[in-house]
Amino acid sequence: MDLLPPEKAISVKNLHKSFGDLHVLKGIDLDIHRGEVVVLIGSSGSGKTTLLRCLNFLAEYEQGQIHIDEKLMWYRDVECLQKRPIKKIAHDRAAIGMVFQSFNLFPHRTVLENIILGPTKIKPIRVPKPEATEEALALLDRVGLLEKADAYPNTLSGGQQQRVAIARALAMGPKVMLFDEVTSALDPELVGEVLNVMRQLARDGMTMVVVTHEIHFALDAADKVLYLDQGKIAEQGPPEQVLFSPQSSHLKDFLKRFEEMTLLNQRGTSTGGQTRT
Amino acid sequence: MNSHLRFDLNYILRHLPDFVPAISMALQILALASVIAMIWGTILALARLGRGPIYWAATGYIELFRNTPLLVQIYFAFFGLPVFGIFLSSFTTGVLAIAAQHGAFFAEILRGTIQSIQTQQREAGLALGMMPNQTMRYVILPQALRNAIPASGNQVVLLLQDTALVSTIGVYEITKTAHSLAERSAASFEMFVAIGVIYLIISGLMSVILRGIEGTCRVVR
Repeated sequence: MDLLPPEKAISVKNLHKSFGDLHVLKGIDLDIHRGEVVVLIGSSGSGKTTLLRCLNFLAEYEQGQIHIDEKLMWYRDVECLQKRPIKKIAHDRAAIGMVFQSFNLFPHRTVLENIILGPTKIKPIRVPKPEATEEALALLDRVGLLEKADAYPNTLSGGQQQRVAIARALAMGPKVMLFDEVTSALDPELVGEVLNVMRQLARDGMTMVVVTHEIHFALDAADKVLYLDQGKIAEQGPPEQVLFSPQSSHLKDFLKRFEEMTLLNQRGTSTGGQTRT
Repeated sequence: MNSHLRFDLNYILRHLPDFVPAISMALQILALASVIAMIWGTILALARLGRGPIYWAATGYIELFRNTPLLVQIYFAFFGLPVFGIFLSSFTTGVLAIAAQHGAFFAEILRGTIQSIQTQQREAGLALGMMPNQTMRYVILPQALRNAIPASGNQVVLLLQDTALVSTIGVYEITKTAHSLAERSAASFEMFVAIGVIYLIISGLMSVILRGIEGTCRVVR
């Protein structure tokens, strides 16, 4: 089955996904090379998050093929409704890190315990605890939170929690990282620290698929920007091309809203001295 | 003062030592039945979250045991089981009958707290590469059990009250002891005031202990 050139980290072919009558993804074709950072943009309901969730099978889909790291992960065809065994799916998910909008740290475990839970308990890796701890501390250092190892998630700020969530995903040694609007739930002043960790990760050569509304991040960290519109990839290309010279009227409108928001934001921060406490 | 309204405190005090084994018996029933009910309840709750025959078996069990009086269940166990060739002591019968019903109650408490753990927690586990049963074991159940502590504490206090029912099958716990002392002396009023106070004290102590457990085991989110 594997005839893909080796440099492709993710390859999606003709992906279809519906929620009942709602056809969310209408034939997505997508190739992401190893080490590439791809940013998905699009208005809400365009299918960005659903596409991301299909990549690690958190959302089941009706049709399509997905290769991750040259391996056919799961597929369904109209003729051949094949569902892979849950064990294999779980096994393959370990190679795909995912970070969520709402952090989803385990509240009953400390930061360190959150990070080592996966490596110590999940099959494909199963490293002994001391080793996992050492690695977890190194990861915490990398996201700048070494001193929070024994803290519980609820004592951390949103930005700190999200950095822990990134470290937790990295602890599984993923080949690909998926980011689902990871800064949308954060206070504006905490967005930067999370994006910096992601930029560093991108520089280190991680393959990343990022759903975000942070146009700045797309501009300075992405290799490719995809614009999703009504379940299809409407435009794609280098960030400057997609963001500065959009072709379709939909994307123009979409980006205009951002400009307005950015302008408002700037006005907000420039007079912010009075309004913010 | 009319003689039939006289409250004989001395009589209670004189017979207090008789209640030591009775209280011990009640506490044994309480402890054993609680532990069994919680383990059984956890199994039932997980079964009720399953599918197919397991779900239906658990649901049927829970509905049957929640919707019939415990006293009836105790009688059924005590008089009915020997018909099927199962002979248990009154103590064992009592403990198991109480655990059987309270297991059903506990299962419903736990089912609620399991379902209240957001699906995002489950997805976070799945995304890491956990099997569904691992997300239950490492992520959901530890949180659900902690969240179930306040309601279960309440349930355990109710269980203490229910230990009185096994007096009907001849187990010498608090109520049975009071009964037999009252029969001998005609001081039934004093006796039942006395055991009311005893139950009250035990419940009160339990509440204090449970509040302590709640405080140390709270999941903060």
